[in-house]
Amino acid sequence: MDQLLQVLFTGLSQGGIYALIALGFSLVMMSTRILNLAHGSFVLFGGFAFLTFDGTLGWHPAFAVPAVLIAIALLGLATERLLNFRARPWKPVSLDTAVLTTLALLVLFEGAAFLAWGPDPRRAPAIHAGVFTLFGAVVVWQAVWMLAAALAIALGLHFFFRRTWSGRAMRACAENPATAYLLGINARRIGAAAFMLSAALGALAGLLVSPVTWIDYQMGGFFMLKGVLAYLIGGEEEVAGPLVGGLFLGLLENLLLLFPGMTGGLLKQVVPMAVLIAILVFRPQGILAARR
Amino acid sequence: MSQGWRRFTPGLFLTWVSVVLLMGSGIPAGAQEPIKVGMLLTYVGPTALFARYEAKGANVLIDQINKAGGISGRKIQIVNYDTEGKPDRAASLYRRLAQEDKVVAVIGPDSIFVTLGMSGVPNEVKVPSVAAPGNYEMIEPKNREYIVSAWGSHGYAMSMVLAHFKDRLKVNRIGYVTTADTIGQWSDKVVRAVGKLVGIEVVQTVAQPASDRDLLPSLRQLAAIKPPLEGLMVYGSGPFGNIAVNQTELAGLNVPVGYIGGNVIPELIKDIGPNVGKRLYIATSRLAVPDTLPKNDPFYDVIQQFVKDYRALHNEAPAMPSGVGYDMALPIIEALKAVGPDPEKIRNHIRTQQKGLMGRQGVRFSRTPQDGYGTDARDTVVVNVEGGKFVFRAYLKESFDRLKISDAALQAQLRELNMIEQ
Repeated sequence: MDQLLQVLFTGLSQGGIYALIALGFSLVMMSTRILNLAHGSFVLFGGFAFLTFDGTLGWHPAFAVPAVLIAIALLGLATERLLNFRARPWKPVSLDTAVLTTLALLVLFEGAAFLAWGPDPRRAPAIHAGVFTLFGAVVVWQAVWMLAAALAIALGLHFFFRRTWSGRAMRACAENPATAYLLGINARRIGAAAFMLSAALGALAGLLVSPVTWIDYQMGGFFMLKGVLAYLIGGEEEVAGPLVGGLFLGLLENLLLLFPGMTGGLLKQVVPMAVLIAILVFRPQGILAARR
Repeated sequence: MSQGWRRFTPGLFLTWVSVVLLMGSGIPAGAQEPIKVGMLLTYVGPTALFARYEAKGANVLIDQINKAGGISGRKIQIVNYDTEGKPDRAASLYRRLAQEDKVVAVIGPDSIFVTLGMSGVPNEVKVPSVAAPGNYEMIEPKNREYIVSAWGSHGYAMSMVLAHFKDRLKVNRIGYVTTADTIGQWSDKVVRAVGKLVGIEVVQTVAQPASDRDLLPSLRQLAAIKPPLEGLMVYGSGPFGNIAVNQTELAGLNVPVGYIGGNVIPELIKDIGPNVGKRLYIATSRLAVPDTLPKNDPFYDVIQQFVKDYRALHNEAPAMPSGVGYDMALPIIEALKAVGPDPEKIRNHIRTQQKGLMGRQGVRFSRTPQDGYGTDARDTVVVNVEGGKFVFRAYLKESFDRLKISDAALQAQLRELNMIEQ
């Protein structure tokens, strides 16, 4: 029983991070229909920037966290400006071109991280160090923050999309950018806001996860893959999809570890991909499709 | 125009040009072409930490040789490339070293992951490699002909810390945490074999992907075993190994922990918690503990001199992989001195003529055509971690002697595990 609980807690906290990353993908997809593969770099830069502000410069987390979020949000804005450099409201950027550009940016950003922070794995300081025991399972405080952040952000975004003009405008842009433009919505500004918010979410995931996972300059691709997996498994539901997809992925990966010997670890690497293929073939709209 | 300019004849002009060209090329008149030796290590990625130490260690020896005038008047020129941790890149760079740069031997590659993926190339280009894979025995026998390993405390040797567990700590039942990949699977086989040799039962193995950073699910599985485990072994280089070792405390596994992997460097060991460090046991080479090594150790003077030379050249203290790097260059230099810059003769010399070569890690190498390691896997020291540093605890061989494990039993196991070719 202890083991099962341990696996569940670990799975939920990892799933929280996957959900945060997937929410970032979802925000940009909803507003611009662009699958921003460079999002993994925002997670990476969030971790490294926090390491610099808090770990190296010694800033208090109360200052370091906002500074990281703002810095990476600006990077998100720069990414959007680059992607839409030649776009016009009546002639949006080709989605294929945009996705390939974000893939190139992911590689470029990883290279920049190598130059800025070097090749070695590094570890940012924990916002809340230590552990506690719950029903016999060991829970790391930082992991609680990871899960809590995912739930709080998901709730906040839910209200943002449903109750605010900007949120509704984002959804309108996703449905039909040309009509949104004719209705007076500045689709480009909405897209820029989505990129900034998405990048800040990625940075939040990065600074929360880096004390646990360590980070090195090559991990942008890893974060990107986990986020895309969670996003596609959950489906395109604006908030619930990425949240459920992330938590499902985290739980699935860790439940597989209950298989004894080498089997559990090997299955953990293979089964999520098999599940993704099954979902893309049999339920391409994601596991929440039945609710629609 | 002065009289001097009138005497400036074409012959004098040519002489002057020759002198200027020779000065410009940096090659003194009469000097010979340098001997080219390849260096193929991984300077980026998770294993880069070790490779940078290895490169610096190798450079200590190359620098000494060049300052002493080279070998038969020819200096050693290192041609250095970065594998970036990619086996395919390592393979093409190895071919380039052999075919375009015309090196006589190669220092590298470093990790088993890279070496395994390109292990056929040295044989194909007929240029010997002194590599540093910790699991050299995983390489196919026919590909080993042109590759030897310089990693003194390799995976099998590190697994032998179980002799210390049995002899000194009275441990009989252990669990094993490893990576869920081919190398982790192989190490499981090795640990189980060594356990059998020394009389320890490996009750359960758990594995997670090497990219995992939370090992509590696996460790808690081991903590739940009844009767409780008396010890634990952990395999994994980089963050995986450190996190597994540190999280034993969180999982309630407050038992002796043996470690197998490359984390025997200051950058990684500093993250080991103080309570865990005292019960962490690593069978490693003597160079890991230059400050606490007994003064009557046969390697004491050699290691102290190496530390001094290394500090003088690099202005920092060496780590264990620095000695590995030196020991990668050492057999090539010794062969060059004996047989000259012929790749085939160098290979034969390394494999058949170098007996008892005193490595700076603190191990002796006596390679044979059947044994590319050439070391006695029992000849290591057991260390703990205190205050972020390794501390000498015991000689592993003494535990083997007390356990009365015969040489024949050991040799049989080395053959069974393919450490020595049949």
